[in-house]
Amino acid sequence: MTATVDWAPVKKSYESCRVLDIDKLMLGEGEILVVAGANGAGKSTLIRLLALVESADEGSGEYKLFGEPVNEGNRLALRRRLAVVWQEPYMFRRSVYENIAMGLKWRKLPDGVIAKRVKAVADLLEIEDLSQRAEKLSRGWAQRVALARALALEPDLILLDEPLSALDRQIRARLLAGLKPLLSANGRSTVYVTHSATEAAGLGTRRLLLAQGRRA
Amino acid sequence: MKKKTSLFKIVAPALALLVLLAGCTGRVSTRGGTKVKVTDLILATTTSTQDTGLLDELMPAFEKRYPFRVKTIAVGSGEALAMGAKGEADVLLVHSPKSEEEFVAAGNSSSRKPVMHNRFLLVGPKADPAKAGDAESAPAALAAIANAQATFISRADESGTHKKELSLWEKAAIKPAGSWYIESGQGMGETLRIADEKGAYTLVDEGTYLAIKASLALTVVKGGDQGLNNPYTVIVVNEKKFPKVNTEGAQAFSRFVTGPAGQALIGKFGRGKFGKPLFTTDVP
Amino acid sequence: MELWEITWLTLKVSASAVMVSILLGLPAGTGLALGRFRGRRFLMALANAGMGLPPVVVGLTVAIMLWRTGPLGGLALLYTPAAMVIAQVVIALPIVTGLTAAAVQSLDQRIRLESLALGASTGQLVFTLWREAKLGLLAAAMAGFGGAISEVGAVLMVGGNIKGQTRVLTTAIVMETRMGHFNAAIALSALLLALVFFVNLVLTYLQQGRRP
Repeated sequence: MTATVDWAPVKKSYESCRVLDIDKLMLGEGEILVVAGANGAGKSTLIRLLALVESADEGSGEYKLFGEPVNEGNRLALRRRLAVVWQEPYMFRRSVYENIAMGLKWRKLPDGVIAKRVKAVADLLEIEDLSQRAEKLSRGWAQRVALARALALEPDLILLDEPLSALDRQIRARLLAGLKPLLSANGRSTVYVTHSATEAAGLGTRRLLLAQGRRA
Repeated sequence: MKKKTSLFKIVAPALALLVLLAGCTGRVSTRGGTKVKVTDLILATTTSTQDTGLLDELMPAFEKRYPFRVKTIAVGSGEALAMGAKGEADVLLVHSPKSEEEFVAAGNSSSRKPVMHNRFLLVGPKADPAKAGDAESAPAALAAIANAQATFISRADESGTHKKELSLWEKAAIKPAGSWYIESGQGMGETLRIADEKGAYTLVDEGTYLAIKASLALTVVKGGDQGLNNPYTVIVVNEKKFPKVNTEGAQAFSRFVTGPAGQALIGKFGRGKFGKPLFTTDVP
Repeated sequence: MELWEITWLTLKVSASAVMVSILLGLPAGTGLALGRFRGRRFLMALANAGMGLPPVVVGLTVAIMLWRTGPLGGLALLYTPAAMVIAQVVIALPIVTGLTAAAVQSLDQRIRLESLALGASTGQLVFTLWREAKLGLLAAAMAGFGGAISEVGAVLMVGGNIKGQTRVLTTAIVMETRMGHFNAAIALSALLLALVFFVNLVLTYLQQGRRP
């Protein structure tokens, strides 16, 4: 069994200010890593590095994702096996349906498959109106669409950065209950960033507490 | 590699579009059943031939008879001669005798023939405050304007009209300068317009004046003077000096405007609209 | 029908110039906005300065290049609509490039992250950015078209205002004014304004979409 994420050490600085310095990061298939920590602890930076949208510092170790060392040649292919829900997700100026379908279209899936998957994740996240303009959604609804957008990709690794923070408590609990089995289904691995103890409590096979970019 | 092809895909249609629009040069037309190659002929001429509408009469008739597509560039005679002196034009229709002689002397021309003439007119406000109309000659009239410090608008653009004006000042032995002497630096039409607005005097070729007269308050102060003759000539640019010149076309145009068909059109031109022809033909 | 011919040529020349400018300026502006390479700031300043290029200077430069004795004389393009397109491209290209760069640069930074995370390739990312910047890009096209069609000095120099070949609305207006045909000049001006308005109307509808 290969680890989904195997990276040691992980370092990142912005303008010579170190924001992340972790000795070792491991995540196995089907595991959920809960990352907790105060604001500015480096949680979001970690997500950007893991999602391959930013590069780590020179001094970092080799990032092995799904057992493959990341390089320029396989970066796009590896990125297409993961999905991210950002803390402040961006809604593209088109319909909710198109927002959820975008990543699938980029992977050139047949229209029939796309329609089926969009329908399934929309049902799961209780999104009814797929035709409305996404850029006008409230923060809470934007988070639901972002979750749907990520789950529709059926990723092997899902990175969630405070994905339910803008939803009220009841809805959060309900969605989380529905979500939980999906996070580790079929060998999928998850990194779940949160600062809420209750959210973290029921989740997680591994825990990482960050403080000022370091393991605390 | 992939990037290169996509860039080409973008640039190629753009270039194709340009070529399409350029088109026409060297286009083939059918004339009496036989195919003839049509080539471009650049005619540099003075604005007065265009502004009077004469070229609109001459060109279609010429293009119908000869396999050339005329590109008429209406500028001042000075600029037209300068274009010829660089080989950027094939044939010239201009009215600036002194400059033309220099042009020929410099070996820029293989043929220069008189085509037509009319007169220059000294125009000004109806009241004629400088009493220029009472002078016995054109230079004397200008002298009267200078003495009265009445406003005079000069083209100051080295056109045929400007050259003529300078030669008249020379004859009057006056170097015009001062706030009353305004240099417009523009074409005949614009200069007339300025003179009209300012109630000033100016020198104008008869053709342009008659063509624009209806919208002007200016009147003729001095005309009919021998010294105000305005001759137009056709000049073929020397192909030996400028090998890119379209000599065949230039010679054909020269033959046409000095031949019976062209001369007949010129002789008639303006009779309907202005009651009299704007130009007098020079070839009997 | 001469009037129809002039109007059609005006539209054809300026539309071609804008299309060429978009084909070149859209990638160039995007590259300027997103790229990290040496000389980027200098090129950006060049594009911005180019937005204010004096048309007569453009006309003279293009004319010199296209003269028989000039470096591109062999193409015999002077006094053709193609020459006018070239001159208008020189005027419109910096406008399209500069405004494209500005539009792409002012996009939400999250679009890039979100698109990459959703699995966009470089090409898919660029198209997404263009789609999100649609308002600004159409504004760039409109400004480029406005600059091209309203220009007179340069097209007069390289086109020559030849009847039936290179006469467009602006040069015809200048000529009619010179000849004192004010009614004709005013009518042509009205036509030019109507044309500019109509084209912008179409583009604005495209830009604003279904928004009332």
